[in-house]
Amino acid sequence: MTFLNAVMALGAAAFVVPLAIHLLFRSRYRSLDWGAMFLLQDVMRVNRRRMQWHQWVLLAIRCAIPILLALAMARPLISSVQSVAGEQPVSWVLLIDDSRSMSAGNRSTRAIAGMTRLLDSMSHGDEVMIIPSSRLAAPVSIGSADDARSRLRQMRFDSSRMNFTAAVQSAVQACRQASHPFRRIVVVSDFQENVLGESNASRREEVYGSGASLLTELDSISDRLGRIDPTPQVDFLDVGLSTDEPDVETGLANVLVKSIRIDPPAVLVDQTVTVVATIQNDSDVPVSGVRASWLVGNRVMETEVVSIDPRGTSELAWRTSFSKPGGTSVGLAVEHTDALMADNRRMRALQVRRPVHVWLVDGDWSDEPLQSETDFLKVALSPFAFGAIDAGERQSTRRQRAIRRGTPIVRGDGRSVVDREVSHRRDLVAAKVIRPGEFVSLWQRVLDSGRQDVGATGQENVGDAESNDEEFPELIVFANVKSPPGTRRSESPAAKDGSVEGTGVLGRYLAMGGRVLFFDGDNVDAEAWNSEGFLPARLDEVVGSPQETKPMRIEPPGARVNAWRLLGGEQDSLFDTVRVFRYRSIKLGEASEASEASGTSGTSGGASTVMLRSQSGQPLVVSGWNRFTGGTTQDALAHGGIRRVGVVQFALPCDTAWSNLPLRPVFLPMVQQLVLDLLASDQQPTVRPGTAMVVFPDARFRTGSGDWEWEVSRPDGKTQAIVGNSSSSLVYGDTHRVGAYRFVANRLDDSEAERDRGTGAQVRVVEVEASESVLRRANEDRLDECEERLGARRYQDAEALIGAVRRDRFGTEVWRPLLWLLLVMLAAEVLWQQFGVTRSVGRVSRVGPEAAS
Amino acid sequence: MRLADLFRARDVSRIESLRLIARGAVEGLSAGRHRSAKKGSSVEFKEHRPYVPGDEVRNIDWKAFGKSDRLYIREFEEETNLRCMILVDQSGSMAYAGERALPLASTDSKPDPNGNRTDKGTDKKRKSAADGSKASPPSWWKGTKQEFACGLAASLSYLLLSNQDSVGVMTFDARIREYVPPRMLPSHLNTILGSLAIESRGGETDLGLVLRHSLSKLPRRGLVVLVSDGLGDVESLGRSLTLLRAERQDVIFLQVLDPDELDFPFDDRIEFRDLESDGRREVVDARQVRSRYVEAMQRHNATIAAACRRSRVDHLILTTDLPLVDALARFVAMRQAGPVSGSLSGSGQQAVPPDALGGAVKGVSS
Repeated sequence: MTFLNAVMALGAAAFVVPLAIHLLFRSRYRSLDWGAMFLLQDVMRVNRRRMQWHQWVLLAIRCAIPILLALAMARPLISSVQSVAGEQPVSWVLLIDDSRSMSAGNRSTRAIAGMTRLLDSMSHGDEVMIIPSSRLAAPVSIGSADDARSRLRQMRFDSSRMNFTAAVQSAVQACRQASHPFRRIVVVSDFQENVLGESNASRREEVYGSGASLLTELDSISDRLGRIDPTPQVDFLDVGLSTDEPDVETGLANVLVKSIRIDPPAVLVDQTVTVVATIQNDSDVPVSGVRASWLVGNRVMETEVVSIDPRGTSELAWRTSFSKPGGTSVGLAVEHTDALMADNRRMRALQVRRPVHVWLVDGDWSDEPLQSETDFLKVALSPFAFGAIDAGERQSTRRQRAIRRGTPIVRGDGRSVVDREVSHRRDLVAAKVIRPGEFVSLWQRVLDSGRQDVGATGQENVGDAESNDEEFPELIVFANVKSPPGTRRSESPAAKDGSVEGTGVLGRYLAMGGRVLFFDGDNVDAEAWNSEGFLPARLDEVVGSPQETKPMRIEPPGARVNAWRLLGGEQDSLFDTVRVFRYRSIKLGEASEASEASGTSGTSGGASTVMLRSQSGQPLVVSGWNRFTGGTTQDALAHGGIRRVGVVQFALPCDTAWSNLPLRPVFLPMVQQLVLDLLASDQQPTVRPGTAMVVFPDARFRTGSGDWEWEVSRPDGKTQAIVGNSSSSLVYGDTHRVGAYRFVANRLDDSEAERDRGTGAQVRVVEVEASESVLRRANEDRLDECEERLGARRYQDAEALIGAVRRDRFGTEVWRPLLWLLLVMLAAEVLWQQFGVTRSVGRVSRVGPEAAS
Repeated sequence: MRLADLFRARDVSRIESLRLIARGAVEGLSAGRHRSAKKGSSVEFKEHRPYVPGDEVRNIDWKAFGKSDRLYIREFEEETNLRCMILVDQSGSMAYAGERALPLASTDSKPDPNGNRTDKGTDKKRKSAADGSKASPPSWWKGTKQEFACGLAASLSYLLLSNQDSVGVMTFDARIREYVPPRMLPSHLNTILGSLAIESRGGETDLGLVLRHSLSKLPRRGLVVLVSDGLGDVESLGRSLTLLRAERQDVIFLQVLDPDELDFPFDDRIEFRDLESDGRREVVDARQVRSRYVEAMQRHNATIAAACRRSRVDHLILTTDLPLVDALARFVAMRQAGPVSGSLSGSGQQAVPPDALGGAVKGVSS
C-alpha cells in the first residue's frame, strides 16, 4: 500500500489524544459518601465486566476516529490489483462500432465523449490505434492520443453491422503491431442484437468447420489473446444502455424503409415498372399520416401518405417508366421523426437498358417454320415480336410502325394517347439468327468496328437486327453447333478448368463480358467443345433414344435456382409435363462435384453450378462463371459476392428432337428468366458500406482498345477520376458513405462530342441493411458469455472504464471507503455512548426525578 | 435542640391541629380519643347484656326493663389515650445529604391548585426554599436524612403530646442508643428533643434485629412509628414487622430517602464511600450504573412494601426534598382515610403510585 499524501498519514498518531483523555479521566473522580452502598455493590458485581468491555469498545472507537481520518487524508492506494506498472506506456486499440444503430439516440455522442475522456486520461507515452468496425481491412495507423482525438471527430456512424468476431480479431491483430508490451483493447459498441447474432454462420463454418458457433470463434480469439505476453486486457464500453432510452427490452421506436424492389428486375427504356417499398414500424405505437416520397436520384417524383400498425409493415407500390438508358437510383423517403433518421430513406440502383442483342448461332438451319434449331428459342426470347408479326396481318401499317417505334397514336376524337399496352409489351431481347459459318466474319466486323454507335436511337424490338450487324452481342446462343466457331485449340491448364484465358474468339468474347448459352444436339462434336474448355461441364455420351418408352422427368428446381424459383416447387412444378427422351451425359469438375455432394450447389465456390437435373440426378443445365484475373477483382468478388455467370450449358437441344421442353409452357418463362438472370448477374443494386463495387464498362469499350477514365461522383458531392485499361472492370472500394455512386466511363482519347454519346452513367447505391435499424439489444446472457470467453469487462459509462484503467495502472484508491468508515465510527461513538452505555437512561429519568415531581 | 429551631410558629400550629388516631384498639392509662380494648364509661353506647348478680344497679337499663320486663345492663365503649413509641434510625446511611434536601422549616412553597409546587429544580430549590423561609437554616443543618427523620419524630411527638397522648422515642444504629419511655406530659417534649439531638456514631445497622430487641421496651397495644431509610436486610425487617404486629402493635413505617438515592442523578466518575463502613468504596462511572442501580433500588423498595403489606403495616416513602410539615399533614390525612401505602416525594406531595418508587407497593392493608 502506498499513500498519495504520505505526510497526512502521520496524523494517525493523533489516536493518543483520546487514549490520554481516557486515562486522564480514569484517574480523575470526585468522592461521595453514599448510604445505599450495598445496592451499588450488587450492581457493580454483576456488571463490572460488561462495563469494562463497553469502556474498551468506546476507547477503541475513539482511537480509530483520528486514525481513519489521517488515513483518508493520506489517500492510500492498494497496489495489489495493479496489473500494469503505473509509469509504463500502454498501447491502446480502440475498436469502435460505427454501424448505423450507433447513431440512434445519443449513443454516438456517448461513445465519442467517452473515448475522448479516455484519451484525456492517457499518459503521454501511450499510443492509440483506432479501428472503426467498418474498416477492418484498412491498415491500422498508430498515433498519439491527439491523433486519435482528431480521428474521432471525423467518425461517422452510418455503416453496416459490426462483425463482432472479425472486429475483435482485427483488434488482436493490431495488438501485434503495438510498440509497447502492455496493450489494452476497448470495444465501444451498443451491442445490438445483430452484433452477437449468428448471421454469418456460413462464413464461420467455412473457417472453423461445421457446427462452429460464435462462442467457438471467441474461444479461438481468446487463445490468440493468450499467446500474447502480457495478455492484453479487453474492455467493453457499452453505450447501448442509457437512461435516455426508455425501453431497452423492446428497443427504440423507429420507422424504417425496409426494402426497395423493382418488378420486373430488368428495366427497359420506356417500359413501365413497379417499384415496391416496404416500410416497417418498429415501435409499439401506430404511425399515421406519414408522408412518403418516391425519389429518382434526388428528385421527389410523387408523394403519398401512409399509416402503419405497431410492429407492422406496409408496402407501397409506384408505377413509373424511364425514358433514357443508363443507371439511376430509385427509392422512398419517409418524413417521420424517430430514433434513427438515417433509415427513413432507402435507395436502390437500377440500370435502364435498351433491348439486349442476342446472336442465335443455329447449327441446324432450315427455311421451314419451326424446323430450324433455334425457332422455338427465338419465339421464347422475343414473344411479343412474334405476336406482333402474327397480328400484323390484322393491323394497319401505321399501327405496326407505331408499335415497333412506341410512338403516340392520335385517335380520331383528338385524344392523344400512347398505346401503353403495346409499349409495355416490348421484348427484352432483340435476337439475330446466324449460321455457324457466318459467326467469324460477323464477329470480326464487330471487333473491327472498334466502337459501336450505341448512343444512337434505341433499337426497335422487331425480332431481327439486320440494321445492327456490328452491334456487340451481349449473349450468344450456340444451338446444336458442331464445334466452337473460329476457335483454335488451347491445351493450356487454365482451359481445362474453365478459364477463358487463351481460348480464342469465345475466350475473348467472354473476357469482354459476354455470355454464352449452349444447347446440345445431334450435330455437336463433344470432343471439339471439350477441348475448347470454357463449358462448365465436359460433354460425354448421348444417352437414350427418341423412341424411349420411359422418358425422363425433370426435378423441380424450387428455391435452389433463384431465377427459376417461380416456376414451381415440389408440388406444383411447371416442369412436371416435360419429358426427356435423350440427353447428353455431362461431367462436372471436381470442385463442382464436391459442392454438389454437399448439397450446396447453388452457392458453392466451385466453377459450375447445377441449375436443373433429372429426377435420377443427372445434371441437365449447368452454369459457370468467369474467373477474373487480377487480385483486386478477386477481392471484389470475395467481398461483394458477385458471381458473374458467363456460360450456361444445356444437356438438351432447344428444339423438340430430344424432349418436349420447347413445347411446354415452362419453356418461355424459363428462357426469359434465364436471360434476365444472366444479364443482371453483373449488377449490384445495393452494396453494403465498405464493400467494393465492381463496375463493368459498357459495350463500346469492350471492343475498343486504349486507356479510359472513370469519373466517379460520390454521395458527399466529391468527384474522382480513375484511369483504367481496356479489358478490366473497375473495382471501387471507397464505399463507406451511404448513398448513390455514379460511374461514367470515357475514353481518354475521345473528343468531347464522343463522350457525350455515351450510354450514360452506371449507378451503384450503398445502403445499410435493414436489420441494423432494429434497435434491440443483444441478449444479456449471451453478452455475458462473450465477456467470459474473452476475459473482458463491461462498463456502462466511460468514467467506470477510466476508473478501472487507473486501478489497473496505479492501484485502488481507498480514501472513500475510509471516509465512510470514519463517518460510521463517529455515528457509532455517539450511539454507543447514548444507547450502548446508558441504554436505560430514558426509562430511569422517567422513574426518578419526573416521578418525584 | 428546640422545637423552634426546627419549625416556624405557623408550622407548629399546623402540627398542633393534626390528630393521629390509632387504627386498632389501644391500651392507655387515661381517658382519651382512642378506642380502648376495655369497656368502660363513656358516651359511646356499645351493647346490652343480661343482668347477672353483682352488677351495679345504676347500669341497669330501666327503660328496657319497662318494655321487656327483663333486666339488662347497658355497656359503653371505653376511650383511652394513645401510647406511641417512635423508633428513629440513626445509622450511618442516614447521614447522606443530597443537594435537593429542603430545610425543615421551609413550608412557604405552597402547592398550586393541581397539587404541584411552584418552585422547581434541584440545586436552586434548596436555596429558594431557604430564601422563602425568610430565615437562614440553622447552622447545624446539613440536609441529611437523619435530620429529616429527627424532625419527623419531633413533629410527631409534638402532635401526639398536643393530643394528650403518651409518646416515647427510641434511637438506634447498630443497637439501641437512646430510650425515652412514653409520657403524656407536655414537658416531655424537651426530653424527647434532647434524646434526638444526641449525635449518633453511625455504623452499620440491622433494622430487623434492632426491632426485635426493642420489643421488650415497647408498651402493649400501642402505636409504633419506625422512621428509617430501610437500607438493610429486608427479610430481617419483614420478620420483625411481623413480630411487632403479633404483639398487637399498630405499626407505621416512614421510610426516609434522599431523592438522589432514588434517581441516581450523577454523571461523572465518582468514588462512592460507604457511610456505614469506612473501608468500602467503589469508583464507578455513574452513567454506566445508573439504570441498573435504579432498578435495584426499585426492587428493594418493592420488597419492603410487600413485607409491609403482608404484615398490615402502613408504609410511606418520604423524600427529603419534601416540606416536612406538609408531608406530615398529608400522611395524617391519608391515615384517617384508610390504610397507607405509597410514597410522598419532592415538590408534588402526591401519593404517587407505589410502582413508581417502590415497585409493587400498592393497595391498602387493613
